[in-house]
Order: sequence, then structure tokens, then C-alpha cells
Amino acid sequence: MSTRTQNAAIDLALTGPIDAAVPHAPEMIEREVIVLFDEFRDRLLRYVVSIGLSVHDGEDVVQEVFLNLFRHLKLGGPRANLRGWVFRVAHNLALKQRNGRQKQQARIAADTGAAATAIDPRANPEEQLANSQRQQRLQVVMQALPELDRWCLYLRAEGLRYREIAGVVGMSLGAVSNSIAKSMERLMRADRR
Amino acid sequence: MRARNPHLTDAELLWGADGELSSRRARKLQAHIAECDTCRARMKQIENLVATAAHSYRDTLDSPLPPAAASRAALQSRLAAESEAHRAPRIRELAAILRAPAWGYVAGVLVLGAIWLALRYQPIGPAGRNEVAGAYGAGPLIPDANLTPGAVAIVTVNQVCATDEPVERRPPLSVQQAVFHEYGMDGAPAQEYEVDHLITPALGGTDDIRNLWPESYSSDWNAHVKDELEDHLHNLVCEGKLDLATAQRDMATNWISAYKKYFHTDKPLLHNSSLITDRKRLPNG
Repeated sequence: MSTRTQNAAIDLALTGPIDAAVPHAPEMIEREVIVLFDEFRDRLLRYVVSIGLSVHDGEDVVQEVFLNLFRHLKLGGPRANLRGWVFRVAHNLALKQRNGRQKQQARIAADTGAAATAIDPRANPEEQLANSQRQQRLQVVMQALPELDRWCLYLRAEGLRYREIAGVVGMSLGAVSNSIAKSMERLMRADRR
Repeated sequence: MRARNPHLTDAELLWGADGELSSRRARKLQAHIAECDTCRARMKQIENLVATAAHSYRDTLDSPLPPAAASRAALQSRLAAESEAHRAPRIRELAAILRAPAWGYVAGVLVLGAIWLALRYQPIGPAGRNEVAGAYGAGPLIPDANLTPGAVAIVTVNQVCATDEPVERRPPLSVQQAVFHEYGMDGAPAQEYEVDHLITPALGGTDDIRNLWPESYSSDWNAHVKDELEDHLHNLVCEGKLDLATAQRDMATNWISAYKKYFHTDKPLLHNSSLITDRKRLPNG
């Protein structure tokens, strides 16, 4: 192939806006998905575990998220706000997975219990003394929040903007703002004690 | 005035701390807390609580998380299988065509003809190798994704921004030759190419062969043009205007797209600058 033909082909592929649906070779999309996996894997896994999945199920969900992302990008799906996209898909898949496990309620309770009580073993005893009382108090309050409020708070802790959170959990922007403000108010009250 | 300017609510302070207020309301909030000691102290308390709550959430859940490597490898393998499955139907269609008796006969004649031509005109020695290089024209504008997917070290922004000096790292000659070889460009004139890092070391790219490719000095989108992008992205990252991972990803996905995106242009800015081309055409090695 001549250089001129190559240039023409590449110019043709790049004429659209960068963030719009630009067709890419599957190999390119594979690489892009892996880069996004590296960026978001821990955050997504942490989030789906926080809403009640075992780590094992959470890993499966995260794999599905990125396979779905690959298909989405391959079909030329929108690229605007992929962070919100992966959290939304992870959230929905996690709820589906969790609901599918309802019959194994005892096991779910054991798994989430383990996650909720797993205090960081890396912290030394002095640090734990200094931090644990306050953190545990906040943990107890967070665990006691209604599920929707807890989701909003966790997604906020993962760095999502309120508008992105609204897209993930299916609430209005105002409802997310109020939910987070209300939860923080409860945390503040617990913190004052 | 203060009596008519009541303290801000905790919700307003929280939304301000989270950067969720409109610019007009954010300006009003900033103006207020600049004057009001009570609200300023309250804002600090809220920011501290927000950080502690997020920390508590992450710390509690981080310890049971397994390392990502196995999961990453599994995903890579599933993505490859998915791409393969996408390609497979085309191969099956071709096989079906070839199974048809009449087409099978025609294809057989064509294949035999091709083999005869290949044997009759098989290039030998350097001329043949140059022909292979010639098949690339001025070399691939963007690297082959299978050969050069990009590779990075685990680095922080502080590490990549520790020096403003350009990170000029030439891979060893043996590695450069291996790169030419894997691209089927053995014997291509080495002085016309830079064995370049897809993700520049200045952004954490490594000398791994998966991060190296032969990049032309002479095409429109050439090695010097890519150098401009590398410098620009490095500056943006170090000025806190661009996330390091995004810079790496954009560079690895398609550096020409990245150039157009970050320079807001459809053409290389320094294209045809012979001064630059001559100055930067370094001896290979």
C-alpha cells in the first residue's frame, strides 16, 4: 500500500470528532478496554462488593462490564463519559447477580458480613487505635443508611460527580444532591458524639 | 450586613466542597467563606469528614480485593476470543464458497498460478528485503496493535514530572533490529526511521518491545510530529490539566487522533519544517 493511500485511509477514519462514534479496529478497542480496565477495575470491584456481592462474583461482574464495553465501542457506541458508563453497567449487573443469589441468602450474608468487618490488617495497632473508633463509628452509620443513600455515598467516594451518580442509580440530580447532603448530616451527627 | 447574611447551610458547604455548585453560586460561596470565620471553619470540618468517610469506605473494602493480574489476563484472553469469533464467520463464508465445485476449480487454478508466479519472481537478498520494507511505503503511521500495544511502568505523576529534561532513550541496536524484523522491515534504511516508544518514557512508557515500533521520519505524520505531542502531553500532565492514565491511553490508542485532539488541528503543526527534520535526524543507535 502506498503512503498516500495509507494517509487517505487514516484521514478518512479520523474526520469525525474524537469523542464521537469513531469506528476502530477491534485490536485498537481491545487495547483501549484493557487500559480502562487498569484504570477502573479496583474501583468497580470495590463498589460491587460494597453493594453486596462476594469478591468472586464481583470479579465476574467486572469482567462482564469490560466485555460489554468492548461490544459497545465496537458498535460505535457513544464515548462520552465512559466512567459513568462502566459504573452504571457494573451497578446493574451487580444487582442482577445479587438478586439471582437471593435463594442463597445465608451465603450472601456471610460474604457481605466478611467484607463489612474486614478492618485493614495492614494498619499497625497504634494507627488502629487512633483511627478505628472514628472510622468504625462512620462505618456503622453508613451501613445503617437506606440502600439508595448508601449507593450514592459510595459512588461519591469513588470520585463520581453527582450527575454521574444520578445516571448510575437512576435518580434525579436533585435527589442525589439531597441524598448525599442527608447522609453527610447523619455522619456529622455521629462524628460529634 | 452580617445579620442579613446568615451562615451557609451544611448542604451548601458540602456541595461547594464537592464542586457541584454552579459557577455563580460557587463564587458567592467563596466570597462568603472568605469573610465568615464560622463558615470557613465549618467548611474545613466538612471536607475532613468527607475525606475520612471516603477513606473508611475504601480501607474497609480494599483488603479483601485480590490483585488484578489474573483478572486482567482473563479479560485479555476473552477479548481476543471475542474478536476472533467476530472474524470467524468471514472465514467460514470463504470456505463455503471454496467448497462449491466450480469455484473450487477456479480457486485451485488461481492458487497454482500464484504459487508459480511466486516461485518465478521470488526476490532474493537485499533487494527482496527492501521490497518488503517498500510494502510499508514510509512505514506504518500508527503501530500494529498486535505487535505494539504499548507498555508502561507503574509510575506516579510526581515521578514523570520530576524533571523537565526530555527523556531521550534509544533502545539497544539488537532491540531495534528485532522491531524492524517483527514489522517485516528487515533491511529497511534505518536512518529513515526512529524505533520509537509508542508511549513515551516521559509519560511512563517502557523499553519493552511491545512499546516500540519503526516510525518514519519522512511521512506527514512522522516521528518529529509525535515528539511535539509527547512534549505537549507531558506538560499538560505536569500542569495538572490532564490525567496521566488518559495521556497514556490516548497515546496508545491512536497517537494521530490524540495529536488532532490536543492541538485542535487536522494537520501536523510542524509538517514540512525541514529545519526540524534535519536537526532531529539523529544517527540511529
